[in-house]
Amino acid sequence: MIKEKFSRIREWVRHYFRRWSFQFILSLSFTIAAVTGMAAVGLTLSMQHISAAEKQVASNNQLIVDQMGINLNSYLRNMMHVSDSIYYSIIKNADLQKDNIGDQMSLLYETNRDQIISVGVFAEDGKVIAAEPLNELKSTADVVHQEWFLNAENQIENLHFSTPHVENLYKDPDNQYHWVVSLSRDVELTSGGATKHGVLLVDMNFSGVEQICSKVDLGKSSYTYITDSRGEIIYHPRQELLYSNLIKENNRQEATYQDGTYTETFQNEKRLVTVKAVGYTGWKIIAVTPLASVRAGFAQFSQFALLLAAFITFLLVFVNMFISSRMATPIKRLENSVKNIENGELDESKIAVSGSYEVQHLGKTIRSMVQEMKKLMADIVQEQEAKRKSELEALQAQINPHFLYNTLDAIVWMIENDNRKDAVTMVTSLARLFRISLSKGRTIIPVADELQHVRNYLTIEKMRFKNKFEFSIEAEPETLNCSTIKLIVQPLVENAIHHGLESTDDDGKIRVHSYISGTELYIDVEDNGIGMPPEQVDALLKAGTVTVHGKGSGIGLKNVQERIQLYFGSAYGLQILSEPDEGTTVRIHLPVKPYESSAEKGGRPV
Amino acid sequence: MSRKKVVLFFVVLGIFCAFYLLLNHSVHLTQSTASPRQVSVICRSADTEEWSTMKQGIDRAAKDFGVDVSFITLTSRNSAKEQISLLSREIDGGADAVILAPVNSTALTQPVYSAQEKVPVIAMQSSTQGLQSLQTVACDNVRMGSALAKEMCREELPNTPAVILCGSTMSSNEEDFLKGLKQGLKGRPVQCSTLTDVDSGETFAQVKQMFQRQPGAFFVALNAEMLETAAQAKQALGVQAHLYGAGRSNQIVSLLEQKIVSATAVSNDYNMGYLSLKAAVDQMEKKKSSNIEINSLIINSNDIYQPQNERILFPFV
Repeated sequence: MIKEKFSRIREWVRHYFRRWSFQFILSLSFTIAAVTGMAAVGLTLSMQHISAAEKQVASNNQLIVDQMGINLNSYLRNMMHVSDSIYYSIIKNADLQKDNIGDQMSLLYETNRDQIISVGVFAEDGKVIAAEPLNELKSTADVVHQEWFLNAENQIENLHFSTPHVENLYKDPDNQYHWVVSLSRDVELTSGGATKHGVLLVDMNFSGVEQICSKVDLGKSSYTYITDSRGEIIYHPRQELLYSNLIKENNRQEATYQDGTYTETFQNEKRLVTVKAVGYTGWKIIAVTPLASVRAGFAQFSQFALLLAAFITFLLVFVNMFISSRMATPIKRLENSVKNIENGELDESKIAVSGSYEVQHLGKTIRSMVQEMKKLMADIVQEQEAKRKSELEALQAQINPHFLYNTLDAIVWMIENDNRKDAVTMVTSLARLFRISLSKGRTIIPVADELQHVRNYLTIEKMRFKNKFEFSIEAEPETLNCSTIKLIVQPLVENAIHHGLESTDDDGKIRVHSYISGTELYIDVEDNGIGMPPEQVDALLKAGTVTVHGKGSGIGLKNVQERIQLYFGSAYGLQILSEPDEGTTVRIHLPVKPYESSAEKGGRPV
Repeated sequence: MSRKKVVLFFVVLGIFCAFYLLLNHSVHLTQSTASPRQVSVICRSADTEEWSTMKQGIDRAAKDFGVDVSFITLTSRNSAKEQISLLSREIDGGADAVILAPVNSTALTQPVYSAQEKVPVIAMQSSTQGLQSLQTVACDNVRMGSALAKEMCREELPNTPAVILCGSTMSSNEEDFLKGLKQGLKGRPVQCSTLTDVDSGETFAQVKQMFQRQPGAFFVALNAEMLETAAQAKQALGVQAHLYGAGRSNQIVSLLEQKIVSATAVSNDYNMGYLSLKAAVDQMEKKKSSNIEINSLIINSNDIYQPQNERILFPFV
């Protein structure tokens, strides 16, 4: 189930990634990585900061409660020392039947009156034996049932500290009421040699405890307070508010804690609590610091940190956009170049070579690949052209055996008829014809040679056709040394004889005329034969068409046309001017190229 | 990067700078402009122990809430005219709130109403007649009177008359207390004796005469000063009359212990002071507030030192 879900999510991510551009993915990935890293570092640092601050506060609180414990211990020991002094120096040494201990107690009281409200010694039945500074009990004072008295009687070996209460023992003419902490102990009283138990009470001024505690400054929202072992409040900086139920304190719970620092939640507030027991009394000094106050200073810092984080994120987004743009743009350009190549635009200079080293290298590689492709394609074209030329020239060469057979047949016939002169002429013409046909294997020959070749051919054909036609060859002298492809005029003349003149009853005339017009060379082959309708003329040179009129297929003309265009380009070729019964002119259009320059290039031997 | 993006960059950068300056400025403002608010407390009398306890509560609250408090006392205990004048003076003087222990006079209604429109006003100890909108921090004096009457009825002397010792002018809390007392003493004859003000020095003689005239009656003093005077008169005469009252002082506690005073109704004055100032602060901070009732107790000579009573009778000052 989980695997399936995970797979679905992965597929979804893949799907969306495919729709996003490289630059966007790059930018988004960088930003997410940077922001996540920054957030993780920030969070860790802030947590460490808070933790360190809490540790620091706990350490400070510990120091303060330790110091407060020392002060309070010293104060309480002082009170215990007063109690000890009264007991061991005064009561133990006195026989109450004959000695008055009041004077000595008065002296001790006066020495410590700032800290003590009263001291008194009580008999087992609660009667006052001696007390300072007042010694007359109130009528309502029920001494034996008071807590301090009961504690002293129940645990005679200990000193007992009470919780704060209002002293209600002695009659005071000034109607003064004091909050005190009572220190009581069981004492042995000697009276007339007999020993009885009694209770010694030292009522400490609560303000003494308050002074020790109120000097402690833990900061604005931190405070310390003291409880007894049961959790009863001894001192609290807001004691009156506690007594008035305006605030609450977790004193019962915290009194159960051992010495140390704790984190607790009280009234939905997390607080750091440090507890320290005060030696003999079982009291506990408790320092409280709300964790919110520890983190309060951090809140302002957090605001600045948050703003800084947002600013850095913003910078990162822009830097990432910039970097990803710098990285992606050359790749995009390269992609466009490749698209152009796909569309057949093989211009290597237009292939973008920019960006990082790798992308540049890729661009250069594609450039060289295109160059190579172009070269290969040119080679293929060249090979194809050469092949085509070879084919055409071979085709051209195929005509010769047929012609040769007819000519030789005519020569044989002449010799048999003792027409030796004509036979010599024909053989001579044939020999010249072949010599020019061979032309040392050259394809390009001078117009003069081509015309000579035609002359020889026409001489032979005229003799074969028994002077059925007349011919003339006129060449402007400047054309004679121009270059032409060999054997391009002869097929035209052959066509003129076989298709133009053969069907006519009149005397045929063939005129071969070479001339230069502007920068162009023209060789016209004119006959006064049957001519052709325009549609036949149009069909003759079109590729893939076969003429239906007359005897020829037009292959010879197309051959010539193709050969001219293969050598000199599509601007050159044949033009046929013909009208039925008026004759036909086939015009060869060639560039004017002196034979010497063409000869340097040479033609491929056939 | 395109021109659009560069412009966007600088715009966002500007926004960040603005936020930074704003944050910096607000921190600076928080540190520099946190001047404490001023609250004036106009009380009827400052020389009673009850007031002293109340003041402790106000001082504690002032410390807790960061408020400066100035205390003003009437020269004449129940002078409405003086209280109106002081109220106006304090508001004109720039007080952000006023805590008032109003005298019992309808003359105060309009001035307090006008003052409420300018600053928060809190009534302490008692309310002002005809001003329902005035927030009051006080005991339920009717219930307190009724509770004291119940304590008196414990003596089971049904036909014994109850003599109420009233001053020439009564505050509204005294009036309410009397109302509760009468409700609680239903069926018992009640006689209200109007005495001269304690300040005049003639009260002692007047009370003495009343004790002499009705030695077996129940006497009830409506305030601490009257109760002290009556207790002194009773002590001087040595009569066995039952004396009750309202209010607290060390002398009253001593008289309670001596059983000269049978019982007294006391309110938690520290709470009253503290909560009055808290109510003023709440109003200044536009928090929702309503009347606050302060707890009260009836204490007799037997339960003075019960921890709960001890804490009200002997404030931790």
